[in-house]
Amino acid sequence: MSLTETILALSNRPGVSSWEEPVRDYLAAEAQAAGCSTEIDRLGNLIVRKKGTHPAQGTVLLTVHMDEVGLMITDITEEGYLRFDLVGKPDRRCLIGKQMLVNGVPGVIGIKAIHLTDREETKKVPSTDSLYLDIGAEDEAAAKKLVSMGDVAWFRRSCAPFGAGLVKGPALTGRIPCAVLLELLRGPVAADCTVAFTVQQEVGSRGAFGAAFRVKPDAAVVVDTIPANDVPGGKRPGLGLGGGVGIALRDEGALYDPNLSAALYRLAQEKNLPAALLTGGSASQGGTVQCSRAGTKTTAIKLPVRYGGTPACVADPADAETALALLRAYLEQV
Amino acid sequence: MEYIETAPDSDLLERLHRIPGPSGQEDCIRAELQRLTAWGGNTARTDALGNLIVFCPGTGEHKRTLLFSAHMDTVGLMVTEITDEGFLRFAPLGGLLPADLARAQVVFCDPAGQERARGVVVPAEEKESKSFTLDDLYLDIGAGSKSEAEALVQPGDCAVYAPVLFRQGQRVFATFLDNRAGCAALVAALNRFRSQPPYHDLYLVFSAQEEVGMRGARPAAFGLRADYGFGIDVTCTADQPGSDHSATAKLGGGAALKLMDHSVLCDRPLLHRMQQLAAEKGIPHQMDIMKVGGTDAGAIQPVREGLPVGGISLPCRYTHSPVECIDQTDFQAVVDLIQALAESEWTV
Repeated sequence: MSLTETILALSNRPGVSSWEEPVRDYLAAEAQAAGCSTEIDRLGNLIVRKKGTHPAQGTVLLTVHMDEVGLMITDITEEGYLRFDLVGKPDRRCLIGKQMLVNGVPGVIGIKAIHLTDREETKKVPSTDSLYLDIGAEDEAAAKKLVSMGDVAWFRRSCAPFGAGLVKGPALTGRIPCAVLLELLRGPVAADCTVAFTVQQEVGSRGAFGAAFRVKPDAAVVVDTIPANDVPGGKRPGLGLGGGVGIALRDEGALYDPNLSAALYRLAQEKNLPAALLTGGSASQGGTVQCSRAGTKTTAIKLPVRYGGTPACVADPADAETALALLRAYLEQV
Repeated sequence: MEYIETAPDSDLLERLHRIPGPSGQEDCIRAELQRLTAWGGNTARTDALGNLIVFCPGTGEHKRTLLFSAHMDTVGLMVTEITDEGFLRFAPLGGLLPADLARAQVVFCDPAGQERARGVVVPAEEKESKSFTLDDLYLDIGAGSKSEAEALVQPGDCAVYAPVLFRQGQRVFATFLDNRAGCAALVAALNRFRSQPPYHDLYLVFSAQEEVGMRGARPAAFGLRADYGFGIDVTCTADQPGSDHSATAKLGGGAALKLMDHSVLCDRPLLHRMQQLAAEKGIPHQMDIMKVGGTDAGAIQPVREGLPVGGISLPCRYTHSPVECIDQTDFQAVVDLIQALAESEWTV
């Protein structure tokens, strides 16, 4: 199975924060088939250990998250429409008209009609209150036969290759790093390593704390994504698709270990892997892992992805290959 | 060693305020603090976050373990981009106000702590000073082009305010009294035990990355076992023009004993014991209550099953600006109180 196929398989499984089982079950089965030991901790994190061709000096932890943003149903109206709250931060600008699955039941996001007529309103991002889910039910009773308060809703699954070797689909900001780590686990690795596939990153890196506490790493690498800047109005400096990986010195949640970051960057250059140093970006799980227990030397590598938090993220599998090559090289000299 | 034995405590301010150590890059200041505390039976280690943890054993019959945490990092700037014209864009390390940063001189230092480049922070010209944000600020290091700038700095390099220190009367004006004055006070207090060990076991944590969210102190506290924790930091004052009285401390009012800041409600019995001890020893003291601000005291309180914490704060004006101000007598009071806590038999 190629890395692209793994990305598709993972993206096409739903896993809204706290409901990650479909993704986790797949990852656990695949990891076991690859000869790894797996355990699921109390928070639902999947912790996988792989033996390498040589023992590492200390425990190395690689961390990615399994979850994605979505909605949670909070009310069912008399007319059979569903009110909801956001789980994580889906991009509210593009929710109207999107096709969702509510616990498997197809639905469409609508907006209160009055909000479309007011010119001022159309300029603003719609509030969550003004949105609702239409599952085509006749009334409240009919809706309640299909869904309940507390059910989660996710973007319709549609991951597929397109364009010049790119992929598009939901949840790529989490699933591409998962695919990279799964590919790593499927092949031989140079040193013993532990991979934590965590829960609830999108709502504040809540799984990562427990995973790092359990594993007690001596060194940690978080694999995540950043918004690609090769789109109209994209901010520089940054990475575009095909630009390889970003190695973080700093993001909003952490100041990474400068030596570890520099070592990874040097390694990328030695192996002719496209890479850039990142000095900004929103918080990843890195800060949480870094400050667990008595602290761990941590860095983060981030792949460029367009349109995070929307039903169709766009990414280049070549960047995932770069990340995989860099991680393999890292384990060779750890 | 002779110099350190006999130098007055205030010389520590001279030494420490000028050593670069922005959050995440504390190597230089850590090395100096390690040198200054490496005497007698003291032991030291550096943990994964870069915290320096110094242990000074006590000999009291009913000794407890006291943890004193003073952050050694300072606010600074991290270069994020070099423009085609040779100007630098940057991200703030810690809480920085555009009004404080604009027109400030900043320096880049080499790994030995020596200045290697200097520049000035400037606002984009069309912006009104009332309304500019950090995004409107650039760093001018005198480069005429991108390649000239790249010969001096790279993205990821960090700059700090150019150091300055002067005294007038009882006041000390200097860069980075937040929190090099706290570090100096802790070193000065430790020095009081060169000839006679303290009563209690002492852990002195010189913590990393406090300015970016009190990130170093809790991991440091996790890695050791203490009975009581004390944050040693500056605190804001309510005694300058235009003060809106959102703080209670005043310069010259003595060691400010912390009851509350945004990150912590200190242990009341511990606070009362500190007040009693200060009164017994004739150490001037006052209350430190603030709505805003986070300190190491807040970071170490929720460690493991929890730690009773207090704070001994140094009143300070103009924090995070290029020149801050403390009162010399407050500094002495803080040193005296730390000494008193370390050498007296007390419990709560």
